[in-house]
Amino acid sequence: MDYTYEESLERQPRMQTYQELESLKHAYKLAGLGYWSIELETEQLYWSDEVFYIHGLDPETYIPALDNTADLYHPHDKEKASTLLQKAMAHGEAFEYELRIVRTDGSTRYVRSKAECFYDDGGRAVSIFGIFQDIDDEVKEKHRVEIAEIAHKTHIDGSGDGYWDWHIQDDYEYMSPRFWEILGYLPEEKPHSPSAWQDLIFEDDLNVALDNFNKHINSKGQHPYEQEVRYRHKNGSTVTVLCRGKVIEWDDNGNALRMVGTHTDITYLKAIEKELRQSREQYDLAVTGSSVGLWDWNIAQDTLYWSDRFKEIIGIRDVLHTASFAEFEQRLHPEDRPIILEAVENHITHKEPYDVEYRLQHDDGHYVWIHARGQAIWNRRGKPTRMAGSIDDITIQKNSEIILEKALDFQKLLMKVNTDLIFVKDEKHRIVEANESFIGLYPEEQRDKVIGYTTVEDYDPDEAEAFLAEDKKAFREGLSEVVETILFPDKTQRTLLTKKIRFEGFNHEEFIFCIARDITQLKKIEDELLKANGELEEFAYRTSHDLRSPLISSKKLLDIIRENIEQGDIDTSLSYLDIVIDSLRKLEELVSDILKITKLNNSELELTSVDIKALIDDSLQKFSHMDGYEDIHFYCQYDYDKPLILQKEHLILVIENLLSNAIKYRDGSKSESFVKVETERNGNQVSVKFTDNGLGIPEKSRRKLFTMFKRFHPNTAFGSGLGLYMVKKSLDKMGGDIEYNDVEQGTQFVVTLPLSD
Amino acid sequence: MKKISTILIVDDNKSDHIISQVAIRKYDASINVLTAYDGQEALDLLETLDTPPDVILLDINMPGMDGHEFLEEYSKEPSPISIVAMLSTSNQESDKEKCLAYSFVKQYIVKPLEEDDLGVIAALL
Repeated sequence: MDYTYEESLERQPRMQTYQELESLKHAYKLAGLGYWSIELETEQLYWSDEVFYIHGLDPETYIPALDNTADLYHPHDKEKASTLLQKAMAHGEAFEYELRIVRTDGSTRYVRSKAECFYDDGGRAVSIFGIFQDIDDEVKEKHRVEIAEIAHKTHIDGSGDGYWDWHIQDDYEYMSPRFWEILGYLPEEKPHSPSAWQDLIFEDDLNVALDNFNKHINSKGQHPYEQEVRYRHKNGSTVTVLCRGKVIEWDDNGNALRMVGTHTDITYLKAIEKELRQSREQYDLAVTGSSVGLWDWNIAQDTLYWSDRFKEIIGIRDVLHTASFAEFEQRLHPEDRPIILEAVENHITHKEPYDVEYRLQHDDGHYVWIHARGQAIWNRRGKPTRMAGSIDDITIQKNSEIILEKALDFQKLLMKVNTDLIFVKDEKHRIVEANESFIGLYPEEQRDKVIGYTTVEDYDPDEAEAFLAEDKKAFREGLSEVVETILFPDKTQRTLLTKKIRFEGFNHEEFIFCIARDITQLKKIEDELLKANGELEEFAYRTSHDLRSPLISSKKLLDIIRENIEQGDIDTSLSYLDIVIDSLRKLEELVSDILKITKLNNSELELTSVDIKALIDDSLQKFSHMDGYEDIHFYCQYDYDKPLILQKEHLILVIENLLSNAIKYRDGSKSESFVKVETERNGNQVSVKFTDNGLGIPEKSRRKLFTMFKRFHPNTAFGSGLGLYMVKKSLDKMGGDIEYNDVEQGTQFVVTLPLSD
Repeated sequence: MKKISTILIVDDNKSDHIISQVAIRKYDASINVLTAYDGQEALDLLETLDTPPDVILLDINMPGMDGHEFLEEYSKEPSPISIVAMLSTSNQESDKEKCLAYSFVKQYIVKPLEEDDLGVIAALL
């Protein structure tokens, strides 16, 4: 059927067939809808059965009539209901209302009625038809939601609590079943009237409630309506209820119309509080004189109790001082504040243990380190109501902790910046700690595999065996000290002075603390010094020998000459004298060379601009009187002839020695002797090549070429044996070098000199 | 005691050659004297001789092959039959020990060589 009931009335003659009417009635019944109609002509009222039932009336006995139905309404709604109906009857106005009816059992229920007029063909109103519906559950639910919203808005946590809705002008008050449950009654047992609860409340508490109510009204809701009140439970016990409320409707004259609120059973909390107070007092008593301070935060009331000791710790002298959570927050060190507030939150919402350290500001302004522990109490519905605990003043420990921490930081810094290799090993030779210098010895990708490892496999097996032996010695004897040369994983060879000292860990396990100083450089210097010392010793020996030898010989020879002269052998004497003179001349040369060496070793000569070509020309000029000079062809080729910046005296010594050697040790058997000098630039060096076709150097002597007192040519010997040694020394001083090249006939020396920028 | 017939002087110094020769002449003018100016020359000379010298007077410090190197080479000979007397400028113990370690080195003489030294050497033959 596509028509509404109204449409069906319009289109069809009134009084449908019996069957159709019955099915309509049935549909209404199923929908829980009642309906009514008034024949305007006769003012006769018709109710469907549902209307009777909604009113709690018996269709058999009750006869509805226009003059008696208004009484069925709630006194407050009676007028409204009558007015709407009269208007509809007089002017055909449609209406809709949601009003309260009072049933015969005294209960009040919300009903909804919607009505319209029907007209005849001439446009005259003939009847009013309305539907009638019990919407009490719907309305109560709506109210409940409203209250919850209000509760939420007014920060009243309504969950699990009872609620109430008071229509002040009507003396009607709805109490949720939870309220009666708290007091041990069934909701049905009690009327919806303030008197219902007022009969059960303790008189003193009622006065407090009324006083608060008046203040709340007079302050237009500013003064909170909130109090803890005691009720007599049905079983005779005392129940404490936290009652809170708020006026939510006012009339134009400022009179309160409607007020809602909540009931919270705090009987259990009260008991705990009492117990807590007692135990706190006992505890307070027990710890008097001890360092422990106590605190007790009533979360619901936001009061914070601090014991005298607590106050003393933070310098509060006023014994009457009352604290608040806000003050606690205020006194917290800004760095600790968010952490501590979070810890409190985590404790009261997630029940995580509250055991914290923080700084509280002392009245003098400084901060005191506090160790606090606490425990909250939750009500049956899991809501935290109190949190209490103790505090210790740990400033002294904390400060020493900080000092220790700083000392440790300093120690770490020392380890970090120390260029010595510092590491700690355990008894299994695993590295348990190491500084950056030590870890830096390992290739980057390997550095996270140092701590916790022996890293033995990264070393040469012999070297590893040696240092492990030192580890063992240190563990056994408490100390080991050794100079070791190790090839490290970063491919550097280092000579280390390594000390290993045994120590005991916290759990009595043994470790060795190792500190290795890189003495590679020191060792190198030491080696150089040793070499220099050796050279000096050799020098002293050789000098004494080479100086004494010609002296002893000459003296003996002079004795022989004297004998010969005495015997009249003048010719022999003269030839011997020549030998003595030659010998002494060489001695003089030697002494002069020795002086040169002393000068070479001890003086720092100035850098000057040197023309190499000029130096060679000067030297050749100087040697032009030497034996054999005339027999030698000199070839000079200067591919590099720019001035060099170096110590001129050194370069002169080099050139003169090499040239004079080439002249002295020429090969007289050759038809043509030559000496070739060539200069050439090689990168940032200049090479000067001296080539001759002289006697050359015997192969087995070449390695000793640049050592002291070496002469290589028997029979032709008239050098001091210091020449090439001095050449090498001079080149060292200039940053240059000399090399002997193997040539088929003769000698080739290549001198390299640095080119300054 | 055997008579010395040939002595080889190995020395780089002309003065010492003369000094040694004068001493030998004074001791026994009939002694045949051979000369070399370094170890290698001495070895080369010994190679050419049918009869080795009775005594070799060997200087330690010489350019080219020195006294020590000569002793090492000479000890490799199948039968070094000449006895060797060392001539040294200084009486240095380490040097002396090193030389006397060779069985054929019989004497260590500090220069200059004297006539009497040859009598001592002859007594060792």
